[in-house]
Amino acid sequence: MDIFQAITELTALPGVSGSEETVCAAVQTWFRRYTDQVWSDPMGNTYARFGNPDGPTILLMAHMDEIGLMVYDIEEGGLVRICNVAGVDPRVLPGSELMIYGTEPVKAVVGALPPHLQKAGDVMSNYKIEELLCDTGLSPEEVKERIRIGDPVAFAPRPPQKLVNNVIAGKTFDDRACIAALLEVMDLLKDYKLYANVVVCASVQEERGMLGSGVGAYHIDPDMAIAIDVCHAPQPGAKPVDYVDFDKVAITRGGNIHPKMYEKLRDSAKEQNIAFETDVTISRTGTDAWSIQVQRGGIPTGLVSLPLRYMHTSVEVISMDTLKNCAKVIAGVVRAIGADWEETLCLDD
Amino acid sequence: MYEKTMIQKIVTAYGPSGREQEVTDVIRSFVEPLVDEVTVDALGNLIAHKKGTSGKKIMLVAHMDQIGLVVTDIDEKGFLRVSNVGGVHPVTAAARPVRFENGTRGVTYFETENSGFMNPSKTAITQLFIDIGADSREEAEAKVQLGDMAVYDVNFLEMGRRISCGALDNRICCAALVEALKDMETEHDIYAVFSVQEEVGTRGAGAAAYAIGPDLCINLDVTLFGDTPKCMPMAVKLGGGAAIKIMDASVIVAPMVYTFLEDVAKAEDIACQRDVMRMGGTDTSVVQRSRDGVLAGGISIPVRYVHSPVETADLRDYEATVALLRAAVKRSELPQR
Repeated sequence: MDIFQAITELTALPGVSGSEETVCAAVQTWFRRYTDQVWSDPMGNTYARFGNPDGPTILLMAHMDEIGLMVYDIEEGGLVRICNVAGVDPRVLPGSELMIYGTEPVKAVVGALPPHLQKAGDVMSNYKIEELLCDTGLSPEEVKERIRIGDPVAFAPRPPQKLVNNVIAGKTFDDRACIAALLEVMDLLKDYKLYANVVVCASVQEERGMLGSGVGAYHIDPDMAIAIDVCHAPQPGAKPVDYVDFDKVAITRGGNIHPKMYEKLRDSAKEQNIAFETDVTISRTGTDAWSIQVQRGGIPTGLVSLPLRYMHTSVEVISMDTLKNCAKVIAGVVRAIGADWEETLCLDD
Repeated sequence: MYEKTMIQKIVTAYGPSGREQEVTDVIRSFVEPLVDEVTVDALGNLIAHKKGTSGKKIMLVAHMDQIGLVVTDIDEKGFLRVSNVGGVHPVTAAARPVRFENGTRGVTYFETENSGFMNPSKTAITQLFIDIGADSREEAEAKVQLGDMAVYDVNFLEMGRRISCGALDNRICCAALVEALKDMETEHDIYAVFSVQEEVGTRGAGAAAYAIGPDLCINLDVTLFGDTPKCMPMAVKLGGGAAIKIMDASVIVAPMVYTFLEDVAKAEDIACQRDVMRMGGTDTSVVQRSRDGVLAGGISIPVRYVHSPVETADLRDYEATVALLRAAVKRSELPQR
């Protein structure tokens, strides 16, 4: 599978939390390359099933929503006021290009008061999101025709850029790159006769507080689950405790990670000679794994993360080699599931 | 047309979060003749079921609890110390008449040592107290126990097309839901839920949604406003019609749900506006995420000065909300993903 192609297609589409329909349709098309069993639940989580229908179910999940904004009010002059839907740092907004998904996509820019017109000291304080206005260049009448309160707003799509050494930069790698990783898992497994029943889920509303994944895990009622999301890679200003090396697969160990799921992932990496790092997170992981774990009677859940620089900007940076390794680690766990699956999840005495 | 005495009775009934018995009784008396079955679940949600024929279930939900003050301590001079039940602003809660479930009346005031008289602007909830006219702890304890809750003791004000009262959040919507049940035409099973404990974190509606497993949910709650002097910008206006929820701090409504409601409003010529509320959550959220997900949306009635004793609403918005709800459940085709 051409991972760069998948990422390019998936990140070109809007999917602000709660408005994932467009990206969802594309994800469904990609899923259908590997299985006919593709569906969505009422929240919008989208699933693909393959493998042995009578086997134990493993749920693999990455979220397809992106951080974004929403039209909140429209000024008399046609300027558009925006509010946060999820995850946008207001400090990166002034000077950025946005796309308003109205009756048709409308380009907009976020302006800022020129330094000449500021008062002394203004330069020291940050803009608040409620002070920012989007300028579409349209007349007030045109704005009314094309834009409505509630329309989603995202960073304007721009194709991912290839840097060097299979490193790429772009928007919404959080977490569409991991959707691509799950497609790669499907690709890696397509010629195997599996013991496990595999359900891949592209979840919704993760950026709003892991809201879709709980519903997804309840819906599938799996025997075990693995979430894949991005984590921080080393970057200027970040502390070692907060990041995982750029070229290593992060495998989380901690309070809400099932010890045996951690071991399965670790062993899969070791067996395939894949560089990995144990990422210790004792409490909330801030990923879908957190809400999957507590559904129904409890679900043994593991977490794999892809290191990424500059999270929640439109220049997120990842390594496609590390991404492939994430997929290999997960595929290895799925392949290893056999008749003894229940025992392999039992905690040691 | 609306029935003002019914609105007034529902709006003025006592019922802070977790203590919804009185308001439950009032609402029950109104809904019992309108539906096939009325039950109260273990949490206290009042569920009115009207049988349908389509095999589809619609949950209509409005929370019936209100914010309040809970007694945490009674001092030797008979003053009651309090904590908030839900989103109480200490400044707004100072210098108010209040009442308890057993009818005991009192007034709130604040410690003046540091803030001075008539200036509660720096008052924290721990500096508020209730004076029930008692001279001693014993005298106070004869009327009020630790854990008892007080609500604003307010008048129901009629101001032309508009009304003002405490607890319009969310009793105005409870009244709208009762109103909509009258001669409701629908082929679907209707579960009208008057939920509990919304103000303390949308606690009640999730349990009701889990039990019902609806195909569609429409939540009725109040929303904020953007049309008073120098207020925070917001597109919602009093008198602008039923506000169709797009997003609030707790939920993003699926497009097929809010466009369904907008299409109904358009077809029936019902005044509506779009509701994006940056602060405040609603029962819509917990219903949406119940079991394996529910298509859940909301119709909001704009209310000014929310969580104060002078919450103000426009009865045209109330009528539009009732009309929209009735027209929506009349549809055979419900939104689907």
